[in-house]
Amino acid sequence: MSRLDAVVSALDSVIEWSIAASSRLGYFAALYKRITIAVAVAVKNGAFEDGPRMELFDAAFASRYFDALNGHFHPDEFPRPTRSWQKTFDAADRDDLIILQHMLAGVNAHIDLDLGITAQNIAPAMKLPRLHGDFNTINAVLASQVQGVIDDINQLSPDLAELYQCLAGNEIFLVNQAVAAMRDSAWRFAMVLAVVPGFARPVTIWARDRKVAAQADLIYYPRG
Amino acid sequence: MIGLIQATVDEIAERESRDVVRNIQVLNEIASKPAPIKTTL
Repeated sequence: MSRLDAVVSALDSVIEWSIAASSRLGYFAALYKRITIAVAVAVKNGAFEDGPRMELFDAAFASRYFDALNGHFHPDEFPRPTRSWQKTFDAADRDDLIILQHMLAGVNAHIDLDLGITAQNIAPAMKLPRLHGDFNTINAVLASQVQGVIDDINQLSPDLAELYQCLAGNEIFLVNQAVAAMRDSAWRFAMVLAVVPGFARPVTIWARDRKVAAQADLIYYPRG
Repeated sequence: MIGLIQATVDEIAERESRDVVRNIQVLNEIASKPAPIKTTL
């Protein structure tokens, strides 16, 4: 079983549990499964400069999500989730949010916090710039799957589908812009982590976590 | 413009399926077949 197959299998467990427990945590898990399958296809098709590295990258990236879930469900055995993930997990109980808000909050925590940390772990310090091309590619793959879910969601969310149809090509622009902004922010964060001394890294991540958690409020309580 | 996004979200929520189990099952079906993959944003 490849690393990415193992990630999909773990996501299937989360999805199965979510169905049994009727938990909205399953929305992001299902989206993430689609993203992981797409990344596996992209690796197979040679879309990345270094496919094996990106397989490793994706598995390490996903493990941050699984660690957060473990911390949420088994607080006595695992470290507490980051504030960003905790906010997302807590919101799963809210029935006033739409499916897209649950998904975007997960994307926010995972890209804006976890992605930069993973990038720095996989390609520390001076090696980081060499990762930039594949880092952009993996984000584009991710954006295409978020977009694809919105396109396919019409049977669950007819108004959302209608709205997106009405926006025609512009919606692609909107989702891509949002993911591109998160991606660039995550890359800058990875660069910061690459240059701060090791002892300052935990506090840098702590501060970032608070910022990303605050961003989740913009998804749950849009101001515009 | 103030509140436009929230009003849109409320409108979507009104007609969106609230059946969590069915929603996950449908999303899981969708998940098995990736959308066309793009490698640039």
